[in-house]
Amino acid sequence: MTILVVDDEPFIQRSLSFVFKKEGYEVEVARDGEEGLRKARSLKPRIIFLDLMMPKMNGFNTCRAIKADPELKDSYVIILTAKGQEIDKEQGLREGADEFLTKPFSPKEIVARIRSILGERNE
Amino acid sequence: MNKVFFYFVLPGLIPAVFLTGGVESPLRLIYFPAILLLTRFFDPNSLLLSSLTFCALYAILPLIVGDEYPFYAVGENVPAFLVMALASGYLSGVIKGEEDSVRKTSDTYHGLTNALNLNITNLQSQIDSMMERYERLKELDVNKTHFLSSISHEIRSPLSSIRSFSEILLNYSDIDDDTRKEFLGIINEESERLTQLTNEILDVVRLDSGRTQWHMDNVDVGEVIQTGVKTILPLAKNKGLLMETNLPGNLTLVKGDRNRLLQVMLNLLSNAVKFTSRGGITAGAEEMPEEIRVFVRDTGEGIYPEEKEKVFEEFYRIGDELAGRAKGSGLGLSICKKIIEGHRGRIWVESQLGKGSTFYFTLYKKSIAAREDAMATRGVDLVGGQIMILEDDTAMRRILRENLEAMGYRTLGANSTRTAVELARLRHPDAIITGYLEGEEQFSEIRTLSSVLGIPVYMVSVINDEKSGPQVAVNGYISKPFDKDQIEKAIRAVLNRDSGRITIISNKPDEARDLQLFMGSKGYETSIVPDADSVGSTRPVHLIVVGSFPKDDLYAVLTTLRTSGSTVYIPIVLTLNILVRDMRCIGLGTTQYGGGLEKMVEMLREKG
Repeated sequence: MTILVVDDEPFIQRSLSFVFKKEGYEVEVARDGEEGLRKARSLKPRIIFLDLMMPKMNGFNTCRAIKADPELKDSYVIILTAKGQEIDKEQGLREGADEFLTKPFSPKEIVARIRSILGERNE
Repeated sequence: MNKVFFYFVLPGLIPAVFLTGGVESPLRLIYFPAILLLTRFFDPNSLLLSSLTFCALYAILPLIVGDEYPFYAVGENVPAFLVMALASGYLSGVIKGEEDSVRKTSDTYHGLTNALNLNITNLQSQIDSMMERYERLKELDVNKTHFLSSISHEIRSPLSSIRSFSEILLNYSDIDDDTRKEFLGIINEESERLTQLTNEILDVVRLDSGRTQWHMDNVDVGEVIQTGVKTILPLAKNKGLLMETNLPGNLTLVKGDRNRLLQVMLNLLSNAVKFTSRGGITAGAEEMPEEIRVFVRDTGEGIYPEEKEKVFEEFYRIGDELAGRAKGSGLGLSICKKIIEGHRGRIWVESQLGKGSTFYFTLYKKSIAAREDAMATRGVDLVGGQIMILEDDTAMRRILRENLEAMGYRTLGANSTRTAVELARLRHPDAIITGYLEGEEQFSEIRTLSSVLGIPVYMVSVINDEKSGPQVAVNGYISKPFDKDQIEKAIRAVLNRDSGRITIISNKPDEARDLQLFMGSKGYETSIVPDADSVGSTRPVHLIVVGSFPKDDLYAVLTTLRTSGSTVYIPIVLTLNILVRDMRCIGLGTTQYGGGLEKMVEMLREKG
């Protein structure tokens, strides 16, 4: 079960991957949209966390590309961003994102979300 | 009354009566229709006069012609013509009355139209200024919203780290010491970033609001640079970078806020360290003719040409994350820009991608007042430039506007200093022309504005000459309180001679005596009169100095002087309650009054 974290901020990468590893998931990180798309295609992760403001390819475009790829149709895309405006949320969902979460976030809640997405029972 | 009637028609009636044989002639029957016809071409007064003429002719005919003339004819014709005369006289009176009342109505109408026009112009300019204000507020609002959403975004990032790492530390007990330390380190680093961000946001807000307290003093730029370098040196050493200063012997002191300038220096230096991975950083200053130019040069990665302006914008960052650098707030350079602009200097960057960047800023050496003088001598050589007219009198503003526009300038109107300041900030006119002579305090605002934005302010005293249109009425100005040099300079400017007779028009004894004292000591012969009408009683003079009067009185004095033959060409110098040395004044040389507003534009175009 792989989770891909696409975010340009090292601290976000660090905290999410730490928590996910602790919870027993496999984690991969990417620091921009292009790398994220590449890794998504090769790893076919179950869940993808996507930042919006990233170099090279922003989150919206990355999301669209992921959703357009038939091989990635089972990937669940969660946009995780500091851009919390309604308009960003709308666009994110329009680009096919499955969920929209804003920073700052609670790692505990994120883990709970993942469990429910994966159909696991929360302990 | 028509002249043709008097000279041709009326004298023509007399021979007509004689030649047609008087009352006996059958032709007399056409007299009545002829007279009635006349009224078609002329007015009822002609009818009255011709009837009276016929009356008189028929009355004296028997005396001239003698027995041949039948008296009963006189009895028939004279009453007939008399009735005609009475009727036409009555008619004429009625018509005249009608005409009068029509004229009166038309005058009233005309007056109302004028008043309405003035009101409309006034209203229009008020609407204009209101629209300008609204647009500015809207712009400010958009900027503010943008700033706020940026802030919110910027705050969320460090907050995310703090929140998630602290939660991780709380939730998981099985974290080894190294990782625990790492996470605590991150929390610490991110809270520092948050603190810095908060401080910088406050700085931006304060600098933007214009309520910053500047502690202006004489500053040794060299010392500021050295202090900055000393502070940043450890950072540079950590990265293995060289850091040196390049300062000439003794730099001229500048007026500035030392701590603020140090803030700029620290910012530029730490940026340089941040973006340079090998080589070194040189900080220094150069003495230029009017300014001191400070530079910070690095051998870093450089920036793209299109980023040169953007780096000074709020929250613009050059790919920090990519290079794995500590993330700045994105506010540092925008704060530097605001600080340097607060000193009326400029800040910019020159850079070559891959080779390094050099940030420059300049500080003026001269005092602010001296610089304003220099500014004031700059001419508006732009044909088709935009000129703002600051004048509270609507009619005068319109006159100035029409004339300037006819000369190819674009104009902006302002009826108060406040409007002028707001408009100038927004529209950056090439020059401000003002005929507004009262209010010392508001002028300081517009002066500051003009020195910050570099817009020259011209002063012009215009009177409206009914015959030849608006005329620039004065040749020079002296500001109060009086200053010996200034008075001499003003007089010298219009009077190319060491001695001469000067009349001072002033109803304030103190003012008049002060002026007399100054001028007397320079060898001028002076006389004092209380008003413009008394000037004629003094001997012919070479110069008239007009003291401070309320605005309306002043215009009356100027009008009297410029319309009476003995003073029309004598140069006039005005005294004012505002500091005219801070603005350029428009006068017309020694004896050139009457040249009209073209002269004014000539002055505008003239380079100081």
